[in-house]
Formats: sequence, C-alpha cells, structure tokens
Amino acid sequence: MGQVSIHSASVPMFVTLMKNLNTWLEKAEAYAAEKKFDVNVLATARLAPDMLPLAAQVDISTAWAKNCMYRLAGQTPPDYPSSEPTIAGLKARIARALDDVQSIQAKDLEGAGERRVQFNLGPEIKMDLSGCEYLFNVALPNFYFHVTTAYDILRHNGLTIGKQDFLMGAFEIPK
Amino acid sequence: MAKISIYAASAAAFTRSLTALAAIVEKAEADSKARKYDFNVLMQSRLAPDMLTLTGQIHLATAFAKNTVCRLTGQTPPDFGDLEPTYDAVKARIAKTLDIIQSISESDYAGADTREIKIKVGQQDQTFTGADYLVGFALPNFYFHVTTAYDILRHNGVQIGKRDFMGQ
Repeated sequence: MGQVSIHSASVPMFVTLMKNLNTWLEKAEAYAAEKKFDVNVLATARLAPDMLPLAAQVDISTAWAKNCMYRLAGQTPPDYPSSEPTIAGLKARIARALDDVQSIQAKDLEGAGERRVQFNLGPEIKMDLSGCEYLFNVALPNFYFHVTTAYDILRHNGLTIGKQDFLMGAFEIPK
Repeated sequence: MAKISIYAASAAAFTRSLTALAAIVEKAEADSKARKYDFNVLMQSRLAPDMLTLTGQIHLATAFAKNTVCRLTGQTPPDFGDLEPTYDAVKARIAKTLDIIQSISESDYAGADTREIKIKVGQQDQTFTGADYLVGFALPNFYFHVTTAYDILRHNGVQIGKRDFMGQ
C-alpha cells in the first residue's frame, strides 16, 4: 500500500509555509515604506467585514500548525496568547511557532497515525479522530485555509507577491 | 516510522473538499437569485486585478485534484479543457472531477509513495516521488485554489462560513 510518513507529511510543509508567510510580511514592510503608509494597517485588513483580519489569520494558522504537531505526538500544545495586531507582533508569533513545530521529531510520532486525537472545535463540538484523519481532514485544510487567506488579504491590498511566493522552498522539502 | 495511507491523504481529502465546494457554489447561486444579480458576475470576480477569477480558481482546484489522483496511480490525466464561467459548467466540472477520483480504487494506490512523477512547474521540469508530489505540491496548490475561491465569494458578500469550507 502506498504510504507517507506522518512527519514528512506535516512538519516540513508547516515550516515552509510559515517561513513564506514571514517573508510576505517582510515584503509588506518594504511595500509600506515605499508607499508611505503604516504597515500595521495591514494587520487589521479583512476581505469582508465579517471575516477575520490578517492578524487573526496568522494567529490561527500558526495555532493549527503547533497544535497539530503536539497533538499528533500525544503532548499538550503550549498556549499562545493573541498576537498584538502589528506586523512585528505577527513575525514574533511565527518565529515561536516555527520553533515549537520543529521541536517535534519523527521519533515523537511513533503510532501517531492511529493515536486518538481529541479536541474541541469551538465551544460545543468535541472531536475524536485518528491521527491520520486529524492531519489530513482537519489540520492541513484549516492550516492552508488561514495561510491562503492571509496571502489573499495581502494580495487584495496590492502587495506584489505571486504563486511562487506561496510555495517557495516547497520543492526541496527536507526529509 | 509512523505511516499513513496515500489514498486517505489524497482521494479522501479531495472528495471531502470538492463536495464542500459544490455546496458552496450552490449557495452562491442561491445568493445571486436572492439579491437579483447575474451569477456570472461572481464567476468573473477576482481579489486583485492580477489574480485569477473565481472560474480560474475552480478550474485549477479541480485540475490539481484530477491530475494528482491520476499521476499517483500511474495514469495519464484526461484533459478536461477550458471551464466556462457558468453555474452549470462549474457544477458539471466538480461532478466530473469527483467521478474520476471515485473511479480509482484504493488498491490502485499501491506503490504511489515511491512512484516517480515528472511534471512541468512553470517552465521547469520537476521530478518528484509520489509522496513528495502529494505533500509538497498537490495539496498546497489544491487548498490554495479552493480557499481563494471561498475568499472571492466571501468578499462578494455570499453568506458562507468556515463550516461550509470544511463540509461540516
């Protein structure tokens, strides 16, 4: 049966995409300096009045990445407070999540595909899934949703980034 | 080493997400009727002048899903051609994509993780193992376009939420 290791299906992509997210924020700083606007305006930018702003998209995507890895390893994820809605605050958040995600190694994920992962989705829904279902049906789609929406908010606000910036580095995935 | 099934990571995930996308498109069509505007306006909407339209996002999301399941199982993906920016064409394209995913059985994914996959990315030839192709190329591209389709609809005021995206 064709199989893929849990570690190689999770950590390298979380790391690559979060590093790319950080790069888009750095490009946003250069863009703001050039156009002479306060870069932190972007932290509260949204695509619709009832959608979450960029700061929340970054907070939620990084939370999914670190929660996913700790839960798959059978450990309690560290709590992150909400970020200050500044680009500097968001970059600090990404740096912390990169450290935490990379602290989980392949050896920590023995049996992770079958491990039951229990967590709350909002106040009412209690989820109980296998590690495999959790990773592919819940964690990855949620992570990609919020990273892509962060990208879309920046693109909508005129930042010159393209699809190659979204997947930069993904083709040389470290094993 | 903890391993997971390529089938569950590809076919099952695409099926779930494309089924959710089909329901989202239905809600968008209902919204166009309720607010009395031409649905095709949504199909041609973009988040930035140099981004693809909603039609383009759905075209690519379905193409990534179809190409991925075919390539992982050693088949040449069929060419679905251009996508017309109409409700019927989009619904049919999603249904056709779900059909092809469902036509490939789980046992056909045997050896998919190590299968050599050669494709052009932009102008460059890239060679992947099946596992790297799925995780590092197909899934991020697929979710990128499905999410951007959702974001275009939300930006245009269609009343959908995260649960619609997740198919819950």
